[in-house]
Amino acid sequence: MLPTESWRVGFDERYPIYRQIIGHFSRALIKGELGAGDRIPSIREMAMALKVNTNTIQRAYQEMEREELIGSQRGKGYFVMDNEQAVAQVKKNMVNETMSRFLEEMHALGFEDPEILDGLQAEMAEMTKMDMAEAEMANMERTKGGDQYGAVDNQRA
Amino acid sequence: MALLTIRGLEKRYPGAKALNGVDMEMEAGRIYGLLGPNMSGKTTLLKTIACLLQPDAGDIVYPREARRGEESKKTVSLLPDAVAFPTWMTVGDAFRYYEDMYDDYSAERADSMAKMLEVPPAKRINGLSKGMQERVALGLAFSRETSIYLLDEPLGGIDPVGKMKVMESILAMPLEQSSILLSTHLVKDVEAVFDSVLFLSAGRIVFSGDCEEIRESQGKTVEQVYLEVFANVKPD
Amino acid sequence: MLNQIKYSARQNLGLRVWAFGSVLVLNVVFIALGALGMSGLAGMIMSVMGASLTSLALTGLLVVIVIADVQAFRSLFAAPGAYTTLLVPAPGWKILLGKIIPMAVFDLAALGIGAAGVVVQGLSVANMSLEWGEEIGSLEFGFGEWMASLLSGAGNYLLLIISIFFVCALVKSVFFRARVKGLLGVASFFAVYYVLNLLDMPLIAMAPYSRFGPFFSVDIAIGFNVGMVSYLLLMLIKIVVLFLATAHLLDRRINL
Repeated sequence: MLPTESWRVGFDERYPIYRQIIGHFSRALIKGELGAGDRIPSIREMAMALKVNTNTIQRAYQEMEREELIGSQRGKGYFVMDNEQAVAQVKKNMVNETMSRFLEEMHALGFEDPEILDGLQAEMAEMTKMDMAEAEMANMERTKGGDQYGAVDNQRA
Repeated sequence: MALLTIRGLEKRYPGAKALNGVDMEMEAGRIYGLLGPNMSGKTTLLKTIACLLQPDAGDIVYPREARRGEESKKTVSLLPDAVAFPTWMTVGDAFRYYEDMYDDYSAERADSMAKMLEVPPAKRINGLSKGMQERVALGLAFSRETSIYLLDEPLGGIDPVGKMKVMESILAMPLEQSSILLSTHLVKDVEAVFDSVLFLSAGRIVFSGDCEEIRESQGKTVEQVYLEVFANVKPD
Repeated sequence: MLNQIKYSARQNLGLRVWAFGSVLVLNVVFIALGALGMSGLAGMIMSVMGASLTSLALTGLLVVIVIADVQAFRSLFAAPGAYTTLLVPAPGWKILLGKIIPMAVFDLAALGIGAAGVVVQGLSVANMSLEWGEEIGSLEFGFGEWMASLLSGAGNYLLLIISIFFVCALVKSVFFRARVKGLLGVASFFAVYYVLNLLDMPLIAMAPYSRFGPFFSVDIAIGFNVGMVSYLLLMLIKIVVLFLATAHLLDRRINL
């Protein structure tokens, strides 16, 4: 089930809506929420769910068909194509786009590349630490009810 | 081949000129937003197309070159700014009336619209809330299979849930050979529904364009463009 | 067009059925009483009471009819009620006919019965007077006289109604924001009706008859003669011309 309601609420009408729709689909593909062979809603269903003009939806679908992300079968509607290359391309595009937007913003704020790189590395390290701490906490919660000594032994090992 | 073409349309009220040379076109398969502040002539324009008002000058070329009058009324379905039904009519009666009076009435379409808009078939129309009356009138306008649908402020006076239903029913309309012209001054809620917008100011179309194009080329919402266009216009 | 009639009839039903029904009931009662021909003082009192109550009912009916007719005019010329009629793809004459026919059928039937009641009451009063030895005079009604009266009455009624539609249509086309309002508005249209009837002047001289009542004429014609025929013909022409003019205005010029 696609989170169309959150998509609908999140549209930024300053930018072409069809592109944002493609963006949402792309993210769903990358995250694995949509997989090869999955059926996606018809143009009309999508239009009604998102409260967006049918022609806009059609444009988005046409673009995605061109990028070989989705395909249509007569009478059966639209499906996600089994096309790893296309998804990889989308991933790459998304990374590039996000990166370039991030860099633009940072440069606009006056940061230089070396600063940005240092900052990134520090942030990455911080996040890894936090992730590990979280994982440990979660583990401890899980084994609280069981054999204390056993749990401690497990951790040591 | 445009479905509807209007050239130099003029309409005078005693003391004021409501339409002062309107030029516009509507193509099949598209939803048009007619935007403008109150008193800009939106209702006058829609009523003139629907033959409730007679123009003083200008030309309207109807679908399939229908002649203005009885012929052109067959090509246009209007949701008027004010609805008034005889006091004895229930919602069901109104649908039966449409079935009797219009050859292009489709029972199937009427049923699906009535369901989508959740109108109560047995209740007297005059006893319903204003918002619900609007939904009944919209269902009736959409129950006809015709070329041009003119909706005069279909979102006015409706609660948020009702608004969703109205937008859904507009988007559910099959538009292979038809188009919809929807007038409103509440741009924000509804701009994603429009293919194109027409800005009506002081009786003229001062701007028209494709919505996605506006977004692509200007990086602005249609509402922002609307505010820019009408910021300098004094209210009457 | 049948559909137009159906809906117009339904629209005007409530008020008219009430009026029609009550007049019918009252008149049946009084006609019966009159026909029973009670003798003596009781009979006299019954007849007189009957006559006055019938007249009262008739007046009341006329008021109701006028109110209902005004509703019919407004439903054709006043927004937004008129939207339901004038958005329909139909020629003006069909829409107009659809409005007029239900009005005419009910009104004429009710008026006819009311008039019959008045006449019978009149006759029974006259008979009672005869019984008491007074001569009021004899009223001879042959078939020709009845036909002439009926046609003239119905024709005048139709002329009145169509005149009112015509003036409304004219006002609406010239001053399109004008609201077609209420009894006062309708009262002023009687002027048009009477003006139109001035055209009868030359013919009035030819046929010896009298007319009474502001709402319809009951012409008590002594003989169904040529003057009467030409009068009825002229009325027919007036009705048709006015009707077509109104339909044309509806088609081309009405602004809502």
